[in-house]
Order: sequence, then structure tokens, then C-alpha cells
Amino acid sequence: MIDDSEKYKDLISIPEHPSISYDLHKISISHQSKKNNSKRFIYMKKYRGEGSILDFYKPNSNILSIKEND
Amino acid sequence: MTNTYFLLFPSCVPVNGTKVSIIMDLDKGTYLEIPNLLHDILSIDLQRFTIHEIMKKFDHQYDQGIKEYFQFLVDNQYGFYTKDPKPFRKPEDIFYSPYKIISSVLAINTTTNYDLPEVLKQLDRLSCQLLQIRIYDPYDMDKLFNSLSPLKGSSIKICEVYVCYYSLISEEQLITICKEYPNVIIVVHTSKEKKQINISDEFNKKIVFTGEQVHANTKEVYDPSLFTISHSMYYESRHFNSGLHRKVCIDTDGSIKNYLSHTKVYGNIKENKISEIITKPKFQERYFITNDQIEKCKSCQFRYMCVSNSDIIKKNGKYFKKHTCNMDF
Ligand code: SF4
Repeated sequence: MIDDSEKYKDLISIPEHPSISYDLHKISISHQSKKNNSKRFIYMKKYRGEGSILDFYKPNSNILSIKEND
Repeated sequence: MTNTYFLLFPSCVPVNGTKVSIIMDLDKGTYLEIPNLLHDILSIDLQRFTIHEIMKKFDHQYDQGIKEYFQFLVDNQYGFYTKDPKPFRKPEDIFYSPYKIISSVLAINTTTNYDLPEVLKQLDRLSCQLLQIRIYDPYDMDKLFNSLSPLKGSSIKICEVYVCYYSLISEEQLITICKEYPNVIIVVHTSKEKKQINISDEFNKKIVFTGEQVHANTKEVYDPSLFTISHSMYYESRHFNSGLHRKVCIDTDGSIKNYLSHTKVYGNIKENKISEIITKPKFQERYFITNDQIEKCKSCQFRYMCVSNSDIIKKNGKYFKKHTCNMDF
């Protein structure tokens, strides 16, 4: 069992500074790099508009079951 | 191991269900199914108890399982070991959005006579982000093109337009609309053939033709492949109704509602401004009914990723969704 505190020290420092926005906190976690292809993970379809349309965090209303690669 | 703690990353949240539980990874947009027993273990205050103390809490019945599962979660970047858990704080459980209206759905049929451009202008002033326009019947594409003009430079990030297929529908006009309005996505419903027209290879933008129909009684689809995992979605659905929070919908006759399938009408767009309706406490009532308060949903592991706009009914002091999913958990 390895103590990973050092590896994730970004997570320690950011909550210590309330003036740093929550977004930064998220970014620090997003940079975990190890790829994981375990079958136990069910990858979700993230809602996104395509092309120049910006992502949004949720869909409006799902009325058709059109999948991304239909 | 006696003084080692196991912590989940702050973006990884365990959610319990009736038969199985999950850990949602809000960063990666994934979830992992876990047994309910592991959920119970992870619900212990992990910052207060060492792994050894947790094992003791369960009378050392599950030592091997706890060890293996924690290692599995570490290997798959759901958590980590530390000897000093104090500085790792949980993110604040709040949802903030500056938008007066987050999403809106408009319905149009052959009898509709409300002023669509004016509605789009009002939604823009309310900083609406997501718009869906459902056109049930064949519709003049030139008229649609002109009516969408307020979308240019508006707050609306994504405008999905569902147009009804008819034999004379012009693909050229559809392409022109998509090119003119970059925030528009067109889906042609009730189509005889299933196909896609690529608008731009560079941006992977396309018009989708589907045989599925969109009409006044179209029901929402509940399917885990359509659920959404994100930070904002998670925190919004903990405090508000994930579908109805700051949503306003206008039916074919101009009725202003929380959602098209609801029976309650709060005004009519031909007589009322959207801004005056959405500030009424009665209109906002459903904003605050979360899945955690609704029967069936409250014990569903997908409750923080499922967008549902169903009306909510109250019976014997309990909330129920009028149109719920068929999922058996
Ligand atoms: S409608 Fe309720 S029970 Fe069905 S998937 Fe959504 S949250 Fe779960």
C-alpha cells in the first residue's frame, strides 16, 4: 500500500486557498493521465453539440434515441 | 496499514441504488457499478477512519474484500491512499448558475400563430442556453430561416430544431440554415429514409434524418446511454429538478408551461411576457423537487445523471413522476 499523498498534492493545496476558484480545483483533478480500459467501466455518452457549438453540461430533453454514431 | 486512510477523489461520488450502487466520476463522465455493501463502506467518513478501523467496524468480516476493492479503486484512479487525510476536503455541495432560464422547448404545428422571433428575443434576454424547437407538421423552410434570425449573437448555445419530413423538403435549405446559424442542429423526423448530411467535415456537423416521429404526445426516452455525468449536472440535480429547473416551454397554441407534456398552463405568450411568468412562485415550484424526494427515483442509482421533465404529482404526501422510466432496478 503506497501513500499517494505526494502524488496528489495538488488536491491538498487547492482547497487550502478559498480564493482559488472551484474550476481550477477541477482542472487539477482532470489531469490524471493513466488510461483505463477496464470492462467494469461504463463510458457515458456525454452530451455535446457538434462543430462550433459549445458543450453544455446536460441535454434539454431526450425525445429521440439517436445515438452519436447512428 | 494501521495508520493509512483510503480516500475517493473529490470528483468521484458514490450513489446508492436498490440493487446495485455506482461511483460516478464527474471528471471522466463515467460510472462504475459497485455492490451496495461497498457503497456502505465508502459512505463511512473516510477522512476519520483508517482502513484498519473500517475493517474493525465490520468485525473483520470483509477484510479481504475491502483490501481488494480499495486497491481496485486506486488502480483505476477512483481513489488513493494517504496517511494524512485532513487537507483533502470535499468540494462544496452547491449549484450556481447565472442564467434566469437554462433551457426551453417550443412546439409548432400548422395552427401555431405566436411570434417565434419575438419568443427567441425574450429567451435571449433571459440568457437561455439550450433551446429545442419541435415542428410537428411540414413547415415552410424559408419562414423557418427568417424566424431564426434572433439566434445570431444570442445567448442560446445550442438550438435543436426537429423538422418534419415532407416530400418537397429541400436539403439545400436545411444546409443553408445550418451554415447560417452555427448554433443550430437539425434533425428531420418522420423521414422515409435514415441518413445523414455532412455540413462540415472540419466540425463534424451533420443533419440527421430519422424514421422516429416527433408529435404532441412524444414521450421522453430514458436510457443510460442518454444520461449525462458532469459536475454541474450532479450538483444541480442534488438541489433542483434536473429537467425542470429554470426551464420554460411554449406549446403549439402559445401556452406557457414548465414542460410541454404538463397540463398546468401559466399564461399565453400572445398575452404575457416569459419574464413575468417565470418569476411566479407557482411556476417555480417544480424547480425545487429533486429526484431525492421522488418515489422510485430516490432509490435509483442514476438519479444524479437522469434528465427527466416529467410532471410531478403529490399523493398522500409523497411525490411521484407522472411519466417515469421502465427501468427495473
Ligand atoms: S426516471 Fe427516476 S427511476 Fe428512472 S432512471 Fe431516472 S432517476 Fe432513475
